[in-house]
Amino acid sequence: MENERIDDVKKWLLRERPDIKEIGLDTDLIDNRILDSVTFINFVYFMEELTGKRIPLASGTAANSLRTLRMIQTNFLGGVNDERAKVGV
Amino acid sequence: MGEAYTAVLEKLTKSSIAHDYDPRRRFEWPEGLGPDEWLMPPELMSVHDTPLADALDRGTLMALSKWELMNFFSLTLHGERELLMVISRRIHTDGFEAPSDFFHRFIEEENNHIWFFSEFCRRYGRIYPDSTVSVAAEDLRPELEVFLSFLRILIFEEIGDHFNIRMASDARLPSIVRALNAAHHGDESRHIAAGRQIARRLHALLGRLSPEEGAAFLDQLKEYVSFTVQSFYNPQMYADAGIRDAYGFRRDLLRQPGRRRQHGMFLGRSLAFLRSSGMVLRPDELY
Repeated sequence: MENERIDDVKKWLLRERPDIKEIGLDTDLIDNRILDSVTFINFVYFMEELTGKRIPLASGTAANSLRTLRMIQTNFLGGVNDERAKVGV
Repeated sequence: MGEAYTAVLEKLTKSSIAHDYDPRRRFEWPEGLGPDEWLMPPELMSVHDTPLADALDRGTLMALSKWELMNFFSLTLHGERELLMVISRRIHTDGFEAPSDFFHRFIEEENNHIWFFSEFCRRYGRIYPDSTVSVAAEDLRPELEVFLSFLRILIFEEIGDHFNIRMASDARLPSIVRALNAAHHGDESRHIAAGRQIARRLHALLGRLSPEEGAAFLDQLKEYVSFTVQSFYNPQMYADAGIRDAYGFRRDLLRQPGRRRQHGMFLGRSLAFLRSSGMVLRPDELY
């Protein structure tokens, strides 16, 4: 089930970037410009749809937790995540 | 160019001082807003010029009108937080001596806008979170980076002003909505005038761009324009209006040819300026 969902994530990314043939589990999606600011926000909406959970972007922590497929698997598809991204008083 | 540039900025600073106001005293805030009032005019909503608007019942459309305005004011106040950071970094630094007096007024006015837009959202709805994410971009030489940052400010303000002008004079809207848009337009018209002067000046100082620099500049400008336009389609506002499958609804809207026509209208003034100033040869390719 988890593997199927990470495959869905990978398929979405490869559909957005047909010029890329493969994305490794530890490939940094931001540093390697697989996502730019436009595709990143669309990716966040895709992940929200997939997981049924809102992803708070304002703190920047959520963006960091979406950097690689492995991090996505751990933080969003394994039922861990939630309140860690929240900062403030 | 130098003397004329300074003179325009001085004139705009004087005009700003002459139009000074206290935002906490200027507006009369009603207790509440009626459920059957347009808040965002239908012609400015993200469903306009598409068959998806016709498929919504009137109650949903009215609810969406409210949440679209909350999104517009939220985008504006978050965008203005970013503008303040750009201007604060430049005020009284080398190369920005001439506009620094104007920047003092700019900072004050933007702070006022953030206050009154946030006040509206908190009283009658809520502030939608900022969805801007900083992602890696190709490094540009510092002069080009600064030019791009001022162009972004200008485009952001001109898109907002397209909405402000129309809402300020729309008799269907509650007086507080018209008043906030009118106040914002009054201040932004000076910011846009100054922004155009500063952008022209920075462009003139850039010198010739290499083909690689030109391509990187256009890529980043295009990315900014797309991001800004797409931020008008916040799935949260569709969900708040009671539309099922808010994400799918957003995707469908972004595919509608009517929406591209509308985007062309939001961006019309910016694109004309970019073309006439020689900054971008084919600005229609930016969106």
